[in-house]
Amino acid sequence: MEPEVGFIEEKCIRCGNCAEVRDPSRCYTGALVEVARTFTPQELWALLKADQPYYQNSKGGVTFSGGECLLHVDFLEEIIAICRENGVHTAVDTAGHVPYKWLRQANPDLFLYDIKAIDPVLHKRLTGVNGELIWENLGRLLQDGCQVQVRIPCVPGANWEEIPEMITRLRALGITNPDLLAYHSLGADKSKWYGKEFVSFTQPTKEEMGELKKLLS
Amino acid sequence: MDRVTISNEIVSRIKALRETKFIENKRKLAQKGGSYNIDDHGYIYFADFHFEPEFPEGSDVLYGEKCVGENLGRFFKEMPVYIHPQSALAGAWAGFFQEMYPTGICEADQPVHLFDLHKKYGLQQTGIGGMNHLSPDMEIGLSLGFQGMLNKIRYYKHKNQPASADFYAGHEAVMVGIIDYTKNHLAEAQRCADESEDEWEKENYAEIASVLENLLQGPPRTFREACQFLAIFQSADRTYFGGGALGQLDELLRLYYEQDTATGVITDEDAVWMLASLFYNDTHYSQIGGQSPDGTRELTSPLSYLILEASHVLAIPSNLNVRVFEGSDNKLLHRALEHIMACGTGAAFSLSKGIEEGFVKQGHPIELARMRAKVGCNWVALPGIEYPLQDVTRLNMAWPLHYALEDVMVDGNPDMTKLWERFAHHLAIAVKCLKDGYDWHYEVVSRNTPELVLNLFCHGPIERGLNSAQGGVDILNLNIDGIALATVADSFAAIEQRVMIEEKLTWAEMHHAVKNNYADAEEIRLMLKSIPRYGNPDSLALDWAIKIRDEFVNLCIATPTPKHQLKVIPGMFSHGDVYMYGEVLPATPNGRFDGEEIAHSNDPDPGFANGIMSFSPTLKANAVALTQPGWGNSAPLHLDIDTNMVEGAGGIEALVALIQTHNQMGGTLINLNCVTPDQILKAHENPEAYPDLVVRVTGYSAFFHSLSREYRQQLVDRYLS
Repeated sequence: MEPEVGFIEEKCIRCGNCAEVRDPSRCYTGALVEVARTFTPQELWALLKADQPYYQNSKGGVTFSGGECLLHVDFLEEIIAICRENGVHTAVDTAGHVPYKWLRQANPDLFLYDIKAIDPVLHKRLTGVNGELIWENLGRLLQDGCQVQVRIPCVPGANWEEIPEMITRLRALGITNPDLLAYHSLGADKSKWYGKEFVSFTQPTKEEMGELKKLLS
Repeated sequence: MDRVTISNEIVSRIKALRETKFIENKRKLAQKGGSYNIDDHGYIYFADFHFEPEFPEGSDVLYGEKCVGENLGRFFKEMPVYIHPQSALAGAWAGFFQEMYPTGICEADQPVHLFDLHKKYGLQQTGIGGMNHLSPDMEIGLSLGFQGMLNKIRYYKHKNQPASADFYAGHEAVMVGIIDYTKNHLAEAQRCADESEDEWEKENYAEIASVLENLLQGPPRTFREACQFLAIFQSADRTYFGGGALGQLDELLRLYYEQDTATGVITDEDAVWMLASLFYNDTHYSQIGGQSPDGTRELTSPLSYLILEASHVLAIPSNLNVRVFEGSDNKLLHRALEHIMACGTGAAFSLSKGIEEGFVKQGHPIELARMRAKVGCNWVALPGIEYPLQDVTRLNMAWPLHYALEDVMVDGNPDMTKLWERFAHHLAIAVKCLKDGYDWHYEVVSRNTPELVLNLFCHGPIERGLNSAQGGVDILNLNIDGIALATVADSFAAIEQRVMIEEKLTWAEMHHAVKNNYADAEEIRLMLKSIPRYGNPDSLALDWAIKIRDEFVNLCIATPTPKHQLKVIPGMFSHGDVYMYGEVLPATPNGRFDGEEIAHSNDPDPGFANGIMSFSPTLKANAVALTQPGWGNSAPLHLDIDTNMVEGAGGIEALVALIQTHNQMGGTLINLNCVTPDQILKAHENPEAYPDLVVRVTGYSAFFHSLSREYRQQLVDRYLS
């Protein structure tokens, strides 16, 4: 297993232990932290099965997320099959910007499908792609009878103004219950660990989200 | 059951009790020097009350069945009267008798032969003289009434003709004192009824007087009389060594409730008010829910919900517990979680599977196991027939590790096998010392400080003329709590990883750093501290934790006490005493400094999870379930959950699943807090600004602002981890 490493600057005491190899096990202050690891599907299942009773009692299961977990579709296909063999419900949290065949290859019980914008220009500005493939894939998944739960991240100053239109378009596709997810900044620390710039937005208030949710009724 | 509708009138009465609680708490805190680190008891501080005890000749400690009984009885008689104008019930207690007037084991009965070992192994709570950790069967009192109980004492004194009259004399004096206390409150209620100008209050005082008058004549007949009986019991029970158990409250009161609601004597909201008055009187531990002994009936009834509601509306600390078992309909559990999420009041969750299977493993039938109620911080007991003495004896397992490390360094050529052997050697000595102590306790406690209140509510003591600790009840289960599991497991794992496997340190370097409290060795300390710690799956530390648990459990259970062959049951509960035990403990190889706190019960240390194994409640729950001692005593899981996280992750249903799963995995008790980290940090910085924040510290519930900074820090650390 090869670790991927994040860096928490505040914990670093410049001891130099990591000068040659960025190995978290050599970093005694915890400044270097293992944030990702390479697993085989079997190794991951060994970890997941410890929580199997929780999945059963909560009628929940395992959600594969990311980044975009479908970029590892062969792995995903295999681990989802193992979960299914063991009676564990699976969900794939995806942005949908992947070849359609990957979505079908993964074959989870449920897609948690993120929709971020309609306007191709806005979509490109926010995500780097124009979103056409995402909408197309959504339509095909629905057509093929796959279980899909659409989720809309609601971000003031980004896609907020477009949300009513998104709800309307989704309704035309037969989706009346998208999850409206309030933007939060919980990823700020993690971005910092990776050395990436964190673009922050304003978090909507409960009242603003309440108003938005009225559009669903 | 649908939530009961409570009128504004009843709500305002209950809120008046709550407001008074805040005022009384301020006075108590001032009296206690600013903080109060235990259960937030319901006593009232009567600054002008003065009592003159009569000590035995030549002693400045009260001891002896007759001496303590007579003093206690007279104390009850002289205790100030108290009736809150908005309460349904009369009575309050005035503080711990034994704290005001030294009461305990006399000089001649002190276990001097064990003192050296107590000192060496840091055995600060040895169980010797341990009191009040058993559950009464309140059915005894409710069916006999005060006068009936007094008659019972006199009958058995006459029948048994004991060689010494002291046992019965002491108990009789206590019972007479309780009756005098009731009479005093009757007079006070009548006086208030006469003098009050408010019509409702006048009527209420008159009703209280009528209830007390009836209780002086015979056993309680109505729901209100039963609650009043329990309030008087609570006041007496807490006074003497802080007893705090009621038992299965919904079942105790169910028939009274059904009878009075069916005949229109009370409504549901009346019941809520009476129960809130009972909870205002004291924070006695009680259980609701669970199963009937034969397993065919769920004990949850409409009254169970009213009990929860009363605690919720009152919104002060209370020590309710919901019994969770596989197959229950979870509605009561759900309601209790709603209350915790709303304001911190609610219940702890006692888990049937681990408790019952462990008790069965001791050789008891499952039907008996189902009757064990959670009636203490962490502990469960069979009401009226078991003397479990849990939560009074702790073994800080870090001391055996300390001596083991010293031994292997002196002997030379240290390795893990030798370190383990020496650890097991010292652990065995400490366990044996505590078992010797229990033999001593068995011999001396009854003639010094018998259970003068609880014996009255047990099956056997009065009938046999024997203290419950010495043959008065049928089942003796003496408990030893092994504590600091994570401290010791992480220490073993740190040495194995850094010294033996990676060879980054030599034994001498590691030992030198630990012995010198990591002076000029911060890098070594961090190196030892930064291993995958107990709580991480597949970690060395988890393996060590299981090995340590097994050794401790085996040492406790394999043999009874040496002299009297009394059964000893292992537990793992630290209470909030992790600072007290850490304060005197030198540095440990897990990177812990001299004097820092030790680990809590069998919880992983805060901050155990990082990186890819980021913290999740299930990660912690799995570790605690995996390291249960397994013999029917509770080792709690402390879960401090960010309310925001719960709302975003399945809400209450997710918590229900978590609790039910912990039950299935063999966990025994869950103490749950739900606030946001932001709330708890602000309250920690400025506790006075948050006088109503209720938290569950370990097994007990308390106002956050009443706790000392250290105790508050425990909760903050748990949240920030």
